Amino acid sequence: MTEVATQARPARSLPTVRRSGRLVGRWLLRRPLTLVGAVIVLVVSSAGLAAPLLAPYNPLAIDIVGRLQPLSRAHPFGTDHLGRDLLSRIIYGARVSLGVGVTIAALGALTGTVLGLLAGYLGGKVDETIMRICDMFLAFPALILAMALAASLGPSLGNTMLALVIIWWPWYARIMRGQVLALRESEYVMAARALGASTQRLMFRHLLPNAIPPIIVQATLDIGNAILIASSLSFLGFGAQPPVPEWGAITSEGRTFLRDYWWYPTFPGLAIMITVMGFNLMGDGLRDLLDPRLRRQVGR
Amino acid sequence: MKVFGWPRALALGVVFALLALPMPAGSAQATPQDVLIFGSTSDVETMDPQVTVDNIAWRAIYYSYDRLVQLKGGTTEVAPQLAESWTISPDGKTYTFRLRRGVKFVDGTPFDAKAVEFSFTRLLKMGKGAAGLWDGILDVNGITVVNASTIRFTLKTPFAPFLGSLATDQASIVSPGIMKYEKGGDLAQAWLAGNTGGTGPFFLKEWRRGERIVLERNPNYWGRRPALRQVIIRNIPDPAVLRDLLERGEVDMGEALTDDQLDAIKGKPGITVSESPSFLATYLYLNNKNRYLSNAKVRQAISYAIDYPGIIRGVKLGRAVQMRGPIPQGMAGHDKTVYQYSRDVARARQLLSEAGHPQGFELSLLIDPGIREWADIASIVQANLADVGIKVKIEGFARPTMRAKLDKADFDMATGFWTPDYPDADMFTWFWFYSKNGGLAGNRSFYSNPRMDELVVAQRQETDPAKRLALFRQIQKIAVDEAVYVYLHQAVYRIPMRSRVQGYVYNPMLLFMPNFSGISKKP
Amino acid sequence: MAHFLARRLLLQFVVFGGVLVLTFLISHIVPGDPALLRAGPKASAETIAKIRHDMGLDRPLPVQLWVYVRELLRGDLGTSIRTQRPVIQDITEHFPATFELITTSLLVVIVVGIPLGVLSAVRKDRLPDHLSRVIAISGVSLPVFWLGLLLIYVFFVRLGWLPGTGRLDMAVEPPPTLTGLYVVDALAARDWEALRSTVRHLLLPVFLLSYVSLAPVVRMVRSSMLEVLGQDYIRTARAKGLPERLIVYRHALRNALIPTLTIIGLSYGTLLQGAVVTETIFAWPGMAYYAVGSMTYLDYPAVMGITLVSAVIYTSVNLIVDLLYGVVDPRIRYD
Repeated sequence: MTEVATQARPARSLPTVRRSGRLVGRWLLRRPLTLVGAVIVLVVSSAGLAAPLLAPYNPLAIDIVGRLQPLSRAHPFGTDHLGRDLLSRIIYGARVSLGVGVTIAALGALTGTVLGLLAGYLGGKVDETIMRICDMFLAFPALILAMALAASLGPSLGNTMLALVIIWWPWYARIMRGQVLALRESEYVMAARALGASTQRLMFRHLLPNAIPPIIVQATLDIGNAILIASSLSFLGFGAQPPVPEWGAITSEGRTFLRDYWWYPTFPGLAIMITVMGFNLMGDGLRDLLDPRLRRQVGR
Repeated sequence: MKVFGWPRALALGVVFALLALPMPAGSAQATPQDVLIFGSTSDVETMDPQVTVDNIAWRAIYYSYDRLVQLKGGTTEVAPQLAESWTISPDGKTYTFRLRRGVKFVDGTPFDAKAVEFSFTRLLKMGKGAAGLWDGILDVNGITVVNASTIRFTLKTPFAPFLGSLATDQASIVSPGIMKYEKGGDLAQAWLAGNTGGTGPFFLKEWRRGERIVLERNPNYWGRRPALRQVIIRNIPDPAVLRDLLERGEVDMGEALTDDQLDAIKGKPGITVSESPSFLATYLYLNNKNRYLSNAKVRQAISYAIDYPGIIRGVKLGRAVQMRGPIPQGMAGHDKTVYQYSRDVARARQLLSEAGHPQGFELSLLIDPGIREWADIASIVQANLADVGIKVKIEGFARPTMRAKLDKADFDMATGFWTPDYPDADMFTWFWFYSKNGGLAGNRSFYSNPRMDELVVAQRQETDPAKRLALFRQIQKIAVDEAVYVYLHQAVYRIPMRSRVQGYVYNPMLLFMPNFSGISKKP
Repeated sequence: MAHFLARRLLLQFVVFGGVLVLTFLISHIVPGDPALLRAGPKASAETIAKIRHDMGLDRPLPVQLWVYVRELLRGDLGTSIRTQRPVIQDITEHFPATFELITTSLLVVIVVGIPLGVLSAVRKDRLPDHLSRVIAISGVSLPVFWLGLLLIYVFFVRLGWLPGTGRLDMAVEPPPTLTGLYVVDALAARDWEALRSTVRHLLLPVFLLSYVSLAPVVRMVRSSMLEVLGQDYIRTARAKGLPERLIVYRHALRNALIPTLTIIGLSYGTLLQGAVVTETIFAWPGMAYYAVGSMTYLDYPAVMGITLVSAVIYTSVNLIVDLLYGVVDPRIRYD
């Protein structure tokens, strides 16, 4: 496709950002929505990390007698149809969902970055090949391809992640390639080349660090996205398998109970929404911070 | 590009809002008296009776066809249908049927012995799953047209349940007239997958895939005219929505609701829930090729570790009875005295020690997570076995993958359902324990025992009912002693309907296939 | 232009070739055996072997691929294992429902999204802007399946205002099939009862689908509007004393629409995958509903057919959008 993310000028590099830590703090205060996003991400992440400490029960412990109990002091979010404590399942679910989101975004970004760097720097046949492969993957609506992949590989959380990484990397490859193309023509890279710097050195010392900020922004936004798509897959039955406390899977299990036991599918869905919103708000702010000109790739 | 301004967008919004207003007296909307609206949470895939082996498809087509024999009312007794009478040779190998005369198929083709021959030849030639019941028993050479109204089947070996097997959907008599739709030698498979061609009380009038199936009363029907003009089977995948439509009276009858939902609507005015014992067995396969499960003591230990009432209560809300051996209660041949396992953790641990595994070990449990009940059973079994030191890893796979793994013995334990196709304990013995049936064919534990092989084959060929009963007793004893499977429970079959629906008769052999031809509606 | 078109089309075919191989590989890494499904639960080994042979599954993979491509060139996508019918027939039958759903939603996205984006830009950093931002962000953050469940619960189960499943009420006869789009068919047949029923059935799924697809459009309109509004000619127009409404809609919006066009094109992709969940939740018998069923069943001819067709639709829409650029913006030339 014609639109290739070519930035007119290289984005600001990371060290500049790091130095301006205090500035960031002040900037955050002026953008309440970004702050909210950051707080949500922080809370959900710590809940996920400290799940064994925070969860009042074992998320897999079955108690047939105490099935479908309404909200109470003992079970703030009630219990599910096998008497498992929903609060505990949702807290452990944070761990599962975040793990999934971060893994997909990180692996996708890594693969995409490397291939995009190669394509952009080496150009010629390599570039052509990598970009055509990208086009191929981008020719599908992501969810449909992911479903087909996850269904074939066998439904499991691992395979969902694999499928999503396979689908996700081309976006990063494109961003990276665009960055590299823009940077390659910039003066300091030219200067480095004139001074006799090797290809490898150029790629890893000069191009990579400067091209990375937009990747980070994209990855942050993608964590939210990945959580959303992975939970959709689980809901449709192509993702996490019982009794794994994945939010999409819990919603799916609770689906038929909504009418008489409203809390069962409501809380896990709420958890997904809040978490994803947190990442989106934070990513939005991060984008403005790192590069106000960077436009998000849309349409996945 | 035309851009709408706010006022226009607003106007559009108002139009939408108007359409959205509640239907006048929407809830009182009653369905026509001569039309039954049946809500189904599962979709039909294909309608060819000689291809499909799916109860949901059978529901749509069973009453568009007739068979040589039928099950009498709600019983498992065989009665005449298209055959008026029959004789069986003393060696149990030759069956001769005298056929009803003057019957016509829905397409006008006359019904006669040739049609029966055509039907069974097509079934056997295609050799799809539906033909599996008669594997090794009947082939095309065994079908003889004696005269226009007499047909003879010659079996390769005596087969005690043969008559019963002729009442199954697979044995439906299909019109030879369908051959005019044959394409490229497909025996009209492409056509019959989306149409019906039988002599039954209904025929398929319309099928909008994913939406609805319309069965229309067959004007040429030879038997008693059904009260219903139409049966409309609506596809409503979400049981929560189906339940609501039932409560509002927009749907007359439907399945499958969850037990929770059935409990919630039971007793509400205008709703009746029919509940009857069934032969639907739920059990666990224990792969005998596994190094741990090959030991009978380990299998017994597992049988002692399971909390049967807990599963029945948690998964079926009490709407099931624990199985006692492989043959379900209510089926001829069931032995009331055979041993029944119950949870005994100490005993299980001791058996594991005797088997040389006091430290326990790990096993996988294969399920199709699309079946909610299995996912729940797996979660409970996982917890139960953890108590005796066996770590269970639940593995979910899509149906075809699960089947492939079952067939190749590529699993440790797995969940399973089994419904008998014909009303005979053969379905729970020969299929389950005969060593040559290893895999999908029925022996899903890959159990192999020469003594058992002898017994299951002998009962099949035994024509003396008393001797057969004795054989079944021996089979059940071994099956339980050796703990070949974990015999969990047999479900209570529940189907909800509006109270104005009359004449429903439950037949345990026809699960999910209500007798549309006998049903009527009160005004 | 012609040169560009030829190059684009050629590229498209290269990509389709890759897509074909890719879908084939995906559907054939299956550890399951489709023959076993067809054979049913109690089939013997011989039956299974025969079915496997009938389906061509015993041939080596490259041969199977070759056969598939050969048949594809003849317009045959194979026979579905699940429905036993030609896949192309299944897809054609399910397509209109999806088309109706997606197109209606796209209209709503345009009708609501563009004014919202404009409003947001004109009243930047004021309440309308914040509001539209919250609507947009919540739209992309909501799990579609969950919102769908809640909508059904509130509007169907609790309030009883709107139907929650399918395309028509239980007792309503569908209009005779002309296009497969029930709204059109009902109009053509002057069947007002069916029309009313089908429009009511469209409301919830269309609301759901357009809501979650709204965000990119709003965002894009807003940012390009902001860019345009800051430019000289707008300031000139203002200085001339033209009414603000005229400036916004006549001058600014027209120029801001160019990038928005891309977004609308891409939205079709978003809508297509939003439809997967929407159709599942509302039992909307479209392509996506068929897709989910086929995938759970690992019905690989159907899975291949669906992925191929959706890739073709998706890339074609993008191609059309690329071409439309030239129409909307005469500055863009293809070379």
